[in-house]
Amino acid sequence: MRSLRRIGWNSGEGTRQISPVTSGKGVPEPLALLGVQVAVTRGRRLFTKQREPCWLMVGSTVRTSHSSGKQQKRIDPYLIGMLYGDGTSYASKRGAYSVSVDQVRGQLLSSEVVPRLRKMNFNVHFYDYMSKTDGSHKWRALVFSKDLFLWFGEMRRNIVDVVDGLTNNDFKKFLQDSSMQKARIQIDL
Amino acid sequence: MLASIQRRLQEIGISGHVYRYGVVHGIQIYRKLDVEKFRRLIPSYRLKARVAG
Repeated sequence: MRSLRRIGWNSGEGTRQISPVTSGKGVPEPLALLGVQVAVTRGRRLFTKQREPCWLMVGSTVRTSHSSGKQQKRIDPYLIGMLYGDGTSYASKRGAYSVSVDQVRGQLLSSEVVPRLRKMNFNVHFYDYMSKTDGSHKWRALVFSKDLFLWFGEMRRNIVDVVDGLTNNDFKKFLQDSSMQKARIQIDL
Repeated sequence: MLASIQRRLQEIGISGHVYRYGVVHGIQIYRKLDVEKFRRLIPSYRLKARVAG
């Protein structure tokens, strides 16, 4: 006896990925960035979907809405430095994309990082936890956003281009509190 | 990356030198005037938290 799924009675209206990377929007974004044609099944139909070429800029902008597709928001240069130094990203198998910043002291996160992220209309989760790796108490600012996740990866791969593209004022904000300036300057003082 | 930062720092009048210590690379600002200028131009929580006074 054939199952209902096999004969297509209950195929559903949702979009099914043909790639292990799920975006919930039909086409894996890393493939879409390459401007390739991706076959997508919707229900029982099979069609190809032409996505726009890469418009997610490597510089200091990030897309903020999947649905609108065009809306871009400027990333604060302070956040570029902070995320490049201390940021981590994680994509779960269930399709959750997150970018987070961990600090031992929460003051910097609460006073600088969280307000800047919230100003960009990101839903920021700010909490403390005990680290399993070193047993220390840490604070974390976590954002679930696929757009920020993708931008974060591009930014880390092209950090030299990002730095070169900053103005002098933006470059000062980029260096401010970024993890690249650490104890060396203290020793040299 | 460090060379780019060194170039950008020179544009705002701060001289830094890229050094290598084993596998670690860094950029060092050792002139007092440059360090003071750096602290004035780039007010950093991290530097305030580490530097006494």
